[in-house]
Parts: sequence; C-alpha cells; structure tokens
Amino acid sequence: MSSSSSSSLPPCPKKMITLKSSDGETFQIEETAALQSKTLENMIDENCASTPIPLRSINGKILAKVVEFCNKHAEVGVDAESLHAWDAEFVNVEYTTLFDYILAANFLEIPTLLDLASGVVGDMIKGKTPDEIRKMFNINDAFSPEEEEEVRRANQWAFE
Amino acid sequence: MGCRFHVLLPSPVSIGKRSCQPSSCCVLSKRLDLALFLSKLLDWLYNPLLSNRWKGKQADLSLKTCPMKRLLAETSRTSASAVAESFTEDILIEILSRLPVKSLGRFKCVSKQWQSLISDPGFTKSHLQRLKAGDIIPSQRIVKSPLETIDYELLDGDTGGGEGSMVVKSHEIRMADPSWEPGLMGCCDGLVCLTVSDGFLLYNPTTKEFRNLPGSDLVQGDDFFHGFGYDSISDDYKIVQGDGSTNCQVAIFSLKSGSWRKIHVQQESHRAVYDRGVYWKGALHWCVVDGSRSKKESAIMSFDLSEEKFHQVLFVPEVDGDLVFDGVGIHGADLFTYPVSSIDRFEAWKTNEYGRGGSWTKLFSVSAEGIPGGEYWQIPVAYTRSGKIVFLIDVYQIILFNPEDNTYKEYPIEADDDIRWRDAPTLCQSRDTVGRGVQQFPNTGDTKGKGDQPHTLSAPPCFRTGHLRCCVGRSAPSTQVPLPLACTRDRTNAGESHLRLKSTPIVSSEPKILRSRVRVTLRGRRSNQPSPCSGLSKLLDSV
Repeated sequence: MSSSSSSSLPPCPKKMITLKSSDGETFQIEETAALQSKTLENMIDENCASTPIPLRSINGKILAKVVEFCNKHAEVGVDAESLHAWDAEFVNVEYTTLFDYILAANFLEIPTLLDLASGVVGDMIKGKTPDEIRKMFNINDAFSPEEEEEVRRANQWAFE
Repeated sequence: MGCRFHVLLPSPVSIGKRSCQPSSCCVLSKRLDLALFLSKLLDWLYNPLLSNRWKGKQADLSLKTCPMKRLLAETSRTSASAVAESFTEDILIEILSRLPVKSLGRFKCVSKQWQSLISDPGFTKSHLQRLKAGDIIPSQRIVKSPLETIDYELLDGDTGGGEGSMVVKSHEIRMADPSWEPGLMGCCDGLVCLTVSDGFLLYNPTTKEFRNLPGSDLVQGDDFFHGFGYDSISDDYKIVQGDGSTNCQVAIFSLKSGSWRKIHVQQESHRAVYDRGVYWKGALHWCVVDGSRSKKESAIMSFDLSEEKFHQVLFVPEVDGDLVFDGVGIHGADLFTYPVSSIDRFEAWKTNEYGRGGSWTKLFSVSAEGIPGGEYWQIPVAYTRSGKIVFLIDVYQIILFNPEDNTYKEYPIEADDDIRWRDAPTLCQSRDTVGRGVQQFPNTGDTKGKGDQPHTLSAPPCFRTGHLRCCVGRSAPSTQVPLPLACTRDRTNAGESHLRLKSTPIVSSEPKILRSRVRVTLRGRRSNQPSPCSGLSKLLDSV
C-alpha cells in the first residue's frame, strides 16, 4: 500500500489530509494511511480532501485514536505478531470507548478496526444476561414481561 | 412365521392450545406507532433542545416525559449508552455475528429489534458462513439414532468432568408417530435429517427446532444409499436417496422448492455406494471397498450435490497388514477414513482436500488391546481437538483414548430404557448452529411443523434404507378416524429382521391427541419380503 511513508527520506513530500473532529480539533493524517478508510478514500478520489474534512460524529479523543490506528496499520515492515499485540493493547479499553471505535470505524468504513472492535465487544458480551445487555446498549424497546417470558420459553435451550 | 406381540395401552395425551395473536393487536400497534410519531413530531417542533438528539433511530420515551433526565442525557451524550443508541442494525449485526449460538439464543430476549435481527435468514446464513470459515470454533457432537447427542468435546481437556451422565442428551421430538424411532439420514451445518413415519424431519439439536418434510416414493427397490447436505451453488439443502444399481435412480428433495424429483445417475458396479453418505465440502462421501480384485482396494466416492453426479475422489492410503478401510468420518475441516470392521487394530487417516492435491496423513494407529472392552463392538467415531480418539464401545460407554501415551478414560452411558439400545447405533456429527434451514426456507406442503400440529399419515407404501415400511389405513373404532399404520423392518441384523408395526396418533376433532401404540414384532428371515399389509391388518383386528 505505502512504499515511501516509513523511509526516512521520502522521494516526494508526503501528501497529508486534515480531519476535523466534532469538537473542532484538527488532525493530520498521511493520505496512504487515510486510504484504509473507504469514506476518506472516496473523498480523496473526488478531490474533496484538499480542505479539512469535518467529521461531526467523531470527537477529538476518539479521532486521535483512529488516526493512530490507521498510522500503525499503514506502517511498512511490521510483522503480523507484533501488530497483533499492538491491536490487543489498542482495544484494551472500556467498552464505552470500544463502542466509539465501532461507530467511528463504521462511519469512516475502516473494516480492520470495525472487525477488531466488534470482535472484542462480542467476547465481552457473550456471557451476559439479556438484562445486562439492555443496560450496556441502553435498549428501550424491551419486551413486556409476558412477551419476554414467551421468547425465553421458545429459546429455553439457550438458558440451560 | 412366529409372532410376538407387545401391546402398549393407549394413553390420552392432551396438547396445548396453539397460541394465536388476535388481529386487533396489529391494529393497536399501528396506532401506537402513529402516536409515537406524533409525539416525536411535537417534540421536534416545540423543543429545539431535543431536536438535536432526534437523529437516532429509537427515541427514548422516558426521556421525553422527564425534562431533568433529558438534560442529563444531553450532557452525557458521549456516554456509552448514548453511543450504543446510535448503533445501526449493520453495527449490531457486525457484533452479533461473532457470538456463539447459545448467546444468540439468549439475546433474542433482549429486545424486539435484537430478536428480529437474530432470527433474520440473512443473519443466520452469514453467521453460519463465519462459523464454517473457522472464525468461531464450533463445538461438535455425535448424533446417534435413536435420537441422542453426545457432546464429546466436553470431555476433552485436563479439567474435563468425568460426569458420564452429562455426556448423552436425549432429544424428544413430538412426532406424528411417537413410537417411531427416527433413523439418521445425515448431518450438515448443525442440522440433522431424520427419517420419520411420514417422511423426513429436519432437526436442530441446538435450538431443538424442527420441521417436517414430505417423504418420497420415487425410487423403488432396495440397497439404498442416502444422505443429506448443502449445495452451495443453489444455496439449498438436499436429501438424496437412491438405489444401488449402476444406472441408479436417485430421488432428490430440495428444501428450497419443497419437492422431490427423480434423476438417473451412472455409477461403476464395483464401486457402487450404499448406506449413509457423509457430508463434506458440498458432497456426500462413502468409502467403498472394491471386492472385484484379488487385493481389496478401497476408494472414497462422492456424490456432488451441485452437479448431482458421482465421482471417485481418492484412493485410501495403502497400509501394512490386512486393514480394510471402509468407513469415513468427519472432524472440523477434515475427512477421515478408518476400518469399521477391524478387530485388533484401529487406524485412521485424514485428508483435507481431494483431487490432484489430495493426500492422506496418518491420524492414529492403536491396538485394540489397549482399549477396554476391545472384544466388543467398537466404533472410532471421532477425535477431539487435543487429538484424543473417541470410541464408542458397544453402546454402553464412550472411551476417550489418548494415542500419545496409550491411556484412556471411560465414560459410561446411562441406559435407562431397554428399547433404546435395540438397534445398532448410527452416528454422525453435528455442531451448534442457529438453525438455518429449519425455519428459513419456504414451508413445504402441509407438513410444516412446530410439533404441536397433529396430523394423520397418508404416506404411500414405500421402502427406505434400514426400514421397510408401508402404511395401512384402518378405522379406529372409538373415533372413526382413519388410523394409519406403519411397519418398519430393521435390516441392521443381517440374518434376522424385526418387523415392527406402529400406529400413529388418533386425531380427533377435539384439541387433544389420543396416543395409541401398538407394537408387533415378527421374527422372520430377511428374505421374507413381507406382505405386511394384509398380515398385520389381521393381527391388528385381533388386538
């Protein structure tokens, strides 16, 4: 993907694009790294990336992490094992932050990050009860107690 | 012909009323939707503060009624719960598709949205694909007939419990004919296909969902081969049933179309397949011994479910001694072959692909001496993730054999019902899936099943592997409702055959089932092509 980004003396100046978070912070990211995001790739293709790109749904704190993730994954010469370890450390955060990562990855269409964060959330929630899930995901369209009892009965196998 | 009678007295069994939703519910829910919409609209018009957060799909009603809470929600906009609220269905699917089946079953209770997402056909398909691709390690188990599953993977590992009673799980399906012991047609994608009195039954041992499928009388004759599997080209599950001749007739049931059709397929006489084929990578597989040569030679034959043709895919490995490979099994992504009838040594070889790149790797080779109960019938049925071999000794215990140090552990199977063990066990493997196929193809005919729908049998006389059956109509004196009868003949014991005669439930107009079981066992030679209809009718008249 990127042939010149990590060498100390790039043959030509790195092409940078600017992202602006919901709270007004700006971030510079190399175009090669930004290409991991399909959303940004489209903007670059359509020459819309010359001015700062406003990302109203992503705050500065999260956008900083997303840029960090893209930079790491665009690095050349990182072996799979150490990248795996880096990823594990990257997602070693509260589930609230993971949710933010997922939303950002979904908005920016970064499949690697979406995959990583969803996988960790999956591991986190697989042992939980429906009640715990409702709290975690702030779900309000819950069943009435009778309805829930009926659904539960129909899926009794999963509670055994 | 000597006859023996076992007559079980009828016992009335009532079935629960089917729940039905009054149509007024729908009207009500539509009205509620409208009310919700109007309240949202008013909020939006009169409350500029709220209009900001009205981007999410689901509006929290409680927030609208409580200004204080609303204010809190606004200030804690970045909290996880607020973030989760803006999760689209795509994001939820992304997370849910990574969950094990059991969690998914539980999470159907979370909310209406989660329930409909998890039950969606597209979701179960992608979940299964992920499972197959190895993203989620499936837990496999053995399915045997009569219907029981053995979760042998639970036994694997150092901390594995020695709880023998935990191993075997018996599955009770409410069938049209409760006395019928279902035969195994095959397993694929976690689904088990069974032969039942009035056709076939697709069953998911994980979710316990099932569905009735019609039988077929397209293929006449004997020496059947059969199987059940998935055709990825047409995205369809198929039941295959054929006679064993060289220009054989094959009846194929497609779950998508819900119907049977007949084709003619060529196969070589000395490599003709019979009995159940094992599903692996889009085809059914058999290990066939070619007895036409001086040295017995075995080959793996396949019936491709997309092409609907036979192929010879691989010769089995040549080994020292006189081992004859004639069995195939499956574990994970591998197909393995083993000698079913070997008495003193067990050996298994596995392969991951066939065709030009196909080759075998030795899995294990153990002497029967090291296995307790070695003189009895042993079936090496599977191997565990840590490489231990699962033996079924007769039908009373499972042995987990560690070929590395020749140690073993015994797990007795509790047998509380003598009827259960009458037939030789037939085995195949299945794994946990949400149940694509059971509910998610168009319903076929009138035999859609949630199990609580009583129906009479009307299957024409037909023959089926392992069972020779015919149905006889007869009026039950008490109810004046036709009482069809089915006869089965087991071919498991070559010299002797049992003819069992079974009656189906008598269905009356009242919502209850009167179960009557009549079992007649006839002992006779296999060559006695029965004319059971007349003979058994007479017997029944005397009952």
